[in-house]
Amino acid sequence: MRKSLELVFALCLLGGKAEASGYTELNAGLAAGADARCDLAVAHLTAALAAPNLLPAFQAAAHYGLGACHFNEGKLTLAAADFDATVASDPMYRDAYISRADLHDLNHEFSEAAADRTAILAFAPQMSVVLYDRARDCELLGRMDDAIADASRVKTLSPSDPFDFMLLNEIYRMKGDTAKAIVNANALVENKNYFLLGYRERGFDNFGAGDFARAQSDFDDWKIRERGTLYPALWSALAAAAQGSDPASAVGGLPANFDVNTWPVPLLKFYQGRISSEDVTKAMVPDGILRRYQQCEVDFFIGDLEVHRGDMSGKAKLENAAKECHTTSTELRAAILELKRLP
Amino acid sequence: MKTSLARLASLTTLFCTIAALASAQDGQPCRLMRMASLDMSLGWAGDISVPINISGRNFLFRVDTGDTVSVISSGAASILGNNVLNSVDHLEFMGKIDLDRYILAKNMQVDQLGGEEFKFMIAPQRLLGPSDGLIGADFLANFDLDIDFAANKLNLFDPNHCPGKVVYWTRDAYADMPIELNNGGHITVAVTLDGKAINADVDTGADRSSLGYETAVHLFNLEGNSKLQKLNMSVNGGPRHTIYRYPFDSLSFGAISVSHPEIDILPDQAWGVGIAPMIIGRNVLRALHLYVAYKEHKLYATPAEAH
Repeated sequence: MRKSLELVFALCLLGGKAEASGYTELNAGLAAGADARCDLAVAHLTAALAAPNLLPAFQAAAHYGLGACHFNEGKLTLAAADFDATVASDPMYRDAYISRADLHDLNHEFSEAAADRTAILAFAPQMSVVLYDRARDCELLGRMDDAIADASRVKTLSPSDPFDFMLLNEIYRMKGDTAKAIVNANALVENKNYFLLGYRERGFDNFGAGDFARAQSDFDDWKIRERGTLYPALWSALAAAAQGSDPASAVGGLPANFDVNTWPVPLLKFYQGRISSEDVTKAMVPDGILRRYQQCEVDFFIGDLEVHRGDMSGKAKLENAAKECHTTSTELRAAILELKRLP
Repeated sequence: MKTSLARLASLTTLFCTIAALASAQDGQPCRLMRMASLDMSLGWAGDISVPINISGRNFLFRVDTGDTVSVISSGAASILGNNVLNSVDHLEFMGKIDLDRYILAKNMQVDQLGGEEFKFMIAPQRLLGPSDGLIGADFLANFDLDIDFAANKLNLFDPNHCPGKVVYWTRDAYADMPIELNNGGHITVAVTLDGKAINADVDTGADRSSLGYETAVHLFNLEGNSKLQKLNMSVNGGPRHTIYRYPFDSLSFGAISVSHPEIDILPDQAWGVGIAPMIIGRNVLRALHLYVAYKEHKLYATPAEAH
């Protein structure tokens, strides 16, 4: 029956009625999740899973949505259970393995993270990004030969992807082979699209090797060329402090267009001597996964500054960073290398 | 040279099946002939993917009606071992990467459909999320595209049927509306947003519905409006931008009416070239059962759970 001229479908995009179907609840959950409204998303997705008419094919997506929200809220135990349920519903649901591996990484369970990535690669060996992350797990487990083998395979799967140089750079840096690390960083410096990463990574190489003057020079090159972020100034200031200079002069003035409440402005203010470490902690977000990332940066940047100023109480903060920072963070690797140098 | 998208699309291999040939011969052209029926995989962002087999290997490709050219990840292309060819034309992908290499995938199987060679531009895996590629209009527009979101099925039908005889899933009312196929296959419909007539692309690859900033300012005079919500977020998996979200009163296209749609307003630099001033994304589309009759230039729709 065609009645299009008279007909109006009134679409209620967020559903939420008591009699809503499993599909409507699922849709409302997805929409709320996309808007970062996790409270609402969890309510709708829970209702979707409780609905008798939710298709089995949608159960994995509903479980995964719950896990993604719980992960973002820092409720990691709940998130782990959700990802387990996702995989139980659909053993081929790639995102669940990827997120569960990320969660393991967050807990520094690198063997378990690598196992999840191996599980995906068993049915999707073409996923170079998964192989890339498994290489990093191997690197942090100290299995450098496995890491290099995975990284080489990544290079085969994604020829000419500049990020492959970054992976090899990082592995050689952590292996202590600074010369090979810098060869890969230089390849990035020479790339017209990725030279910023090149300066940054070469700075990390030199910093990790204890050559703080060269590191500061690289960080300054990064700072001049990437004005949209404050991290180059922070690293440059730390490298200056490691040479016995005043970090405040390396920080310079904050760009006028930066919101003073934007992270990592509190860390920069600390480096300028304008606020205390307690003030920095107070400026962190109160909870959620973002707090963990900020705590990592606080531990590293304040701990390492203290160490370079001769205050060895900073070592405990570096140890905390090496235990808590996320696998993908540069602060994790820098903390590990700094601790290797300390008595 | 930048892509002539229409030119790339013209290289599409024609797919055929024995069933389709039979349909043309049996004297019942009004009967819809289903050529493929695929279970969809639903992602957290509401994105939909379908299984595709190439040379005996199983892949998962995202269905993107807003993408004119199909794309394969570098990893999938590499593992297939096909010759990588350099394209004369370059395709700007996700607003930042020039794609200039492609493969001709041999022995491609989409449910019962088989194809000898199909062109996929090669994109970095990291831009494709967990999928192995994107199926775009250069493939989809060879068929009628039936997206049954609520049943989690994507069907492809033979486009040779009697006009208007497609809504097979319900005897209830349905909406239909003309579509234009622009710039290599974008599905463009006429919509009314808060009383203003505007064209919009129906885009299964877009998370949310959106307007370009220029359109929002000039047509709706929204600059400085206190209801504009400022956000900093990634646009469809690409770079983060400052975007605005605005609660419009009503959106309608054909007989479909959406009350109080929240529409994102994207900066002009994040707005693709050659697309309509508005995009209808999955936050609206997932509430519908859609049937795109590309050849007939018509879009049919009912509520998602109509049956």
